[in-house]
Amino acid sequence: MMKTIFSEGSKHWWPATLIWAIAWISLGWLDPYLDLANLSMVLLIGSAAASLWLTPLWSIVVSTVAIVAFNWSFVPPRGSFHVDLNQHLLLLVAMVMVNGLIAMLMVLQRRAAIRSNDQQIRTTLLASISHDFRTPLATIIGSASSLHDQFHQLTDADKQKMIEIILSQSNQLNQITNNVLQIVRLDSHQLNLRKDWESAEELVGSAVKLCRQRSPKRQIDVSVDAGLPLLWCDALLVVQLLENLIENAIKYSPSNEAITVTAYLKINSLVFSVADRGAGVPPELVDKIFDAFQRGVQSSKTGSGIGLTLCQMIAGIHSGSIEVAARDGGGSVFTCIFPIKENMSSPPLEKN
Amino acid sequence: MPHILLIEDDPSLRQILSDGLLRESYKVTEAIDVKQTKAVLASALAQQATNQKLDIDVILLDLNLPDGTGESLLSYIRRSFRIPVLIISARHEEGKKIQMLDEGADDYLVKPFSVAELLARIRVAVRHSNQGSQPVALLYKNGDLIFDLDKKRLTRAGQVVKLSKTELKLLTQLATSPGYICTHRQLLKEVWGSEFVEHTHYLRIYMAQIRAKIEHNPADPQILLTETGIGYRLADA
Repeated sequence: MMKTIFSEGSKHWWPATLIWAIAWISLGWLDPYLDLANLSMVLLIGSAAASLWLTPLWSIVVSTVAIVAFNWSFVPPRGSFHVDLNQHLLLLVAMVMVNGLIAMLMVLQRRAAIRSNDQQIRTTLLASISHDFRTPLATIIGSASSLHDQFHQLTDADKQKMIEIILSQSNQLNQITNNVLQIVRLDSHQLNLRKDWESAEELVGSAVKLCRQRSPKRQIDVSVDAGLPLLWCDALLVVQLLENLIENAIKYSPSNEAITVTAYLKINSLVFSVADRGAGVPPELVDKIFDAFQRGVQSSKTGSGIGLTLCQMIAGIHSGSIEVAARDGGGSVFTCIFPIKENMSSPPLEKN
Repeated sequence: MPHILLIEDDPSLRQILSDGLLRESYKVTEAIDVKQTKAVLASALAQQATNQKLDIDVILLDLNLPDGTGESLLSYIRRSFRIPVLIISARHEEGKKIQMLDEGADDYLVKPFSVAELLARIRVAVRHSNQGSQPVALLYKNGDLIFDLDKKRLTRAGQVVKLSKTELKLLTQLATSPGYICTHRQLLKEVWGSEFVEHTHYLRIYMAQIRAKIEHNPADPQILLTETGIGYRLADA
């Protein structure tokens, strides 16, 4: 711990240098008016202030250098080193201790802040997860227990409806589980990314297929430009991203409105977009929607907070970005932008 | 009736799968661990020695068993049997699954899956089991698409579709076992050679070309299906 605490923390040279410059100018200015003991107090204050911006190790190094310079410039005979052991060493020890302590306290304070922030994220995460899990679970238990307890009073149509509810809610639960697992894995860097060259056509095709299996009646229009470059990515993750966006679009828009999924090239990036005709994202949420989950903003519908947080993490892993905008004619468009990396070998040419 | 060996340690899942198969009049033998599986296989071998016919048609194998790994059991099975093996795996076992497909497993299901998915995979596997190493059919038909493996001829609504040599090789590989998964590695090895097994982008490029010729909307394929991160399969028409 000591080893790290000495080198940990911020190193902001500009404010530290500025404070040193001010201290040094003040020293020169105050020199005619103050005696040596008071001058060294000015030095101590200046170096203590500078320590706020340095790691403990650097603040000790810098204050040692400062004392040597102080000795040269202000301790008579000026322009030379005069070592009065008692006085000089006392000043040195005092400065090193004060500066080191200040810098270490800064480190400890920052660590505590990070810890409490982590704790907060974890608490929100758990609260959010249990909320998201409980909603579909309640519906499943409700329907299943009704089938179990009132089997003979239910009409065939009732039973059919309940079975469908159980199926769709279980699928929902499965998707939330997948999202949570993926977030945990990405967050703890346990995941070995399996990056490969992937085609936009196949990524979109796979995501759409998965969503169609869950919502067979929903119209999903797919349009992928021909001749798009391949994307260097983890296919499972990108499919999961697209799947989440399409799934959200299905959930948040009227069931008679089609979802439109497109992929196209824009300058040096591959763009995927998912557009719906839903109510749209409230303007005050546009900036926060992707980390609403971490900030503890509860979403009204189950699972979307986790899903969008995951989408942003996945985009980030691929040096991409994700954004949401209002769609012309109503609804919203979620857009993912992935930069293209071009250095793959072409397959051998063949003669037809 | 086709005989399925179901190896699954979770009692409720085993029950559901077994019931689902029995309802479709399959014959089902259950095993809950490696030990039981080996006993069942040993008696099947002994029986095969007497009446020249193996009594098991398809093996359904869960990757996680209490007394051993699915990998070791798969290599044990492959030493004596050519029966189709379907793997049941959890979602996070991606790498393991691909490795096992490359090492001789025939297809896979990811938990949780529906009974309909299970039955579809079983149907394809049973057909294979009966055919041995012969192509299931010399003609692949899907909608208005007909691919004649023998004459190496592809037609769509009666019109001949021209294929390049590589496209033809790829399509033949897939059509030899419609409904079955072909991993990237298998396809690359078969079509370009073993030094190209890492060149997945070759496949992306050629599959896009083939899709442009056979699919109505290549981004929404109904015939040449992608298995994300694993390989390709031709829809079982």
